Amino acid sequence: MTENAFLVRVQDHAGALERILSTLRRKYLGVEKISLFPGPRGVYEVLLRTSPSGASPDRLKAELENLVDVREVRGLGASECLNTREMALVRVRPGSGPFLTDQGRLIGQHDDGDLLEITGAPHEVDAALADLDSRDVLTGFHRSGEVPTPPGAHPKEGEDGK
Amino acid sequence: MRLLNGSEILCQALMEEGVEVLFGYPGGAILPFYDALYRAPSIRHVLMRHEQAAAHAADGFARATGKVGVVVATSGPGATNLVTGLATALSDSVPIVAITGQVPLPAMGSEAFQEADILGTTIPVTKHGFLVEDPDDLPAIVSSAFRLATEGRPGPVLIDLPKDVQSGESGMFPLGTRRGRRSFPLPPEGGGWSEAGLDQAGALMNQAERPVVMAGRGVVLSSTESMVLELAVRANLPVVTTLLGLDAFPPTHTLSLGMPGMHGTERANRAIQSADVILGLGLRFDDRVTGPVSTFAPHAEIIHLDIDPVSLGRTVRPRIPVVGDLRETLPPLAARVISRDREEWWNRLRSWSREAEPGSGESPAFGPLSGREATRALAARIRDSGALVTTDVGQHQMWLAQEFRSSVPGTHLTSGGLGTMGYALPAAIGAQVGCPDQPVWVVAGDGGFQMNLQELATVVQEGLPLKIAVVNNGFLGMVRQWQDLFYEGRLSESQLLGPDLVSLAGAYGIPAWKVSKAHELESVLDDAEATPGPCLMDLRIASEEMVFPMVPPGSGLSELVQTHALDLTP
Repeated sequence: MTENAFLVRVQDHAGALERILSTLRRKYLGVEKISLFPGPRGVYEVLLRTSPSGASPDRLKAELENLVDVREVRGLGASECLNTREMALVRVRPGSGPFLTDQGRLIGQHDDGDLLEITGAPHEVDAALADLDSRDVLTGFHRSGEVPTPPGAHPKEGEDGK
Repeated sequence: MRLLNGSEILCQALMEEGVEVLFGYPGGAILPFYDALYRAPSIRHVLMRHEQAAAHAADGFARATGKVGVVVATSGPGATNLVTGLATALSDSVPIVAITGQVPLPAMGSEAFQEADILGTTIPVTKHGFLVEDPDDLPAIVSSAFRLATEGRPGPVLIDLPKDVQSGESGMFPLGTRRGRRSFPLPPEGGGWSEAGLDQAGALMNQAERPVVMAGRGVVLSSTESMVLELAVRANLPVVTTLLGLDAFPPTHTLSLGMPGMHGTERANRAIQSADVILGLGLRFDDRVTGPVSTFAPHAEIIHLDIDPVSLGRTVRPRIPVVGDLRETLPPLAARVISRDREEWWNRLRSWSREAEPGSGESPAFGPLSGREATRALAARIRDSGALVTTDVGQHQMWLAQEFRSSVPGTHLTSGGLGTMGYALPAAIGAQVGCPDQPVWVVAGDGGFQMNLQELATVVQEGLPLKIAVVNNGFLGMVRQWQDLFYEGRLSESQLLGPDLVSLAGAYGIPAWKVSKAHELESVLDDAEATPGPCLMDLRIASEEMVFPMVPPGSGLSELVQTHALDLTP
């Protein structure tokens, strides 16, 4: 069983994303995470992480590449998967924010709660959220979804600050 | 000078693509286009009686002519009725462009009257789909759609056209000063083969003691039949042809082993199971051909040449995959293959039967007609007259495939991949429109015929001289065969009450005959051939007859059952 992660560059046309998801569905692959970011000239980048399956990554890549609006498919290897980044905007109890700057950057203080920005590798964001929850200060959050690092040198672990 | 509206641009774009015929059915959301079509006399419109049939007609037109078939339907139910036709075309790699009307852009998503998300609905059954949001985009979209439909592995492409876009004024004047604002870039054509790969493939072929060539529809699509024949003759290679590739290699040639798979010949199936090298040319290795993949060709190394990279390794894993157009990949491979004798292999091959059911089908002269005999006689007429034939799905399809003897490429049209009942009659309409000077025969079962028999009206309205043979056993014959063989004879809902087909044809003004005795068959076929317009033959056969050989479902090709013991004596 393999977990598949792909970075798909796709032209922004009607139905383009549906075709990608339909291809995965026909292989009985659930999409566990999906992130979408705009790129130049109407080409979007989609990061897809699917449920583990017996489907070969090469075959999935070939099927995705066969879609008309898809410009490029890059399978993300283990090292690239480790180097994805994510942001979470976290609301914590009013007044608790200044005491939580070891977890994230305080970006706002309001009557209904303080706002923290947490960035890091997905597992680091997971850990930070779990920690806030265990301290009983977490009241809500939104996660951006994973963003892959561009081709080239990857940031070192912890290089980008929380 | 007046600017063109979207519908007029579409007509112009279709004409620029060389479109001369559309198959369709009008309705509210496509009326602006039909209005423009009224003023475009160079485009013939064939008014079908159902949108599914219109899609099959476009499919038959495309298969018969090698051109793109175009089908038009309105929004909502008109569009959703296309789905089976599009899926049929996708399975069998047939280039179709489907144009659907859509509710106006501002009404989309409001559950408006006759609104359906046809772009979303057809995603799994098309190569691609476009939603047109601006009339100025139409020239580029139409051009892209036609290119996509034909390029690589052919298939259907949908253009969804909201009513306001059809009516909307563009920035274009007549006769094509194109000022499209957007372009629709397409991916570059892919190709994946190397000289080293072809060297390996050639070496493997030359070392082979027991080679088999498997030719599929890709050979017909690429018009490489003569290259395959030349290679086979020069290197003394046995050739099997899939259902969709029956006309890829002359079936009467001594090198032909016939059709492989579930109802394939003993010679073809045993050859595959004994082969040490298989050269697959333009085929998908689908499950009806392979049986369980784990049992398929257990001793063979496989070389697979196909234009579709996704088809390589989807079922059978080739040792040497070669991605590319056979017109480009086959000649350099053939040049590497040397002639070898392989007499021992040929002696083994000849020990297996090439005939589907040796000695069967000769029913007593005054006895009931057998399906085998009827289709054998039809196959002979089709071969002798150089006709095209369309078949439906089921027993008659397999009998005719087994008996098919025509050496003319592109003459056997059937729904091989999706297995669509109701395909034969409308596909024949498309084939006859595309090839008006060629005889076109329809061979259908009574089940499939009843799925689209409303198209008899189209046949008459268009004056198409189709020869329609209904192999009629009053059952869903193949369903009954499986129920008899694998469900202990429980005939659950497989018996069909049908109309009196002779009277039905008469209601449309079509001459018709019923044949129930073997000795009546030839004279009725003579009468049919002599009839200048359309005619229908109701061929009544025994309901218990089965198609053999047969590889039971789930079994390997070696486990084929060769004959049955049906007694047809009265």
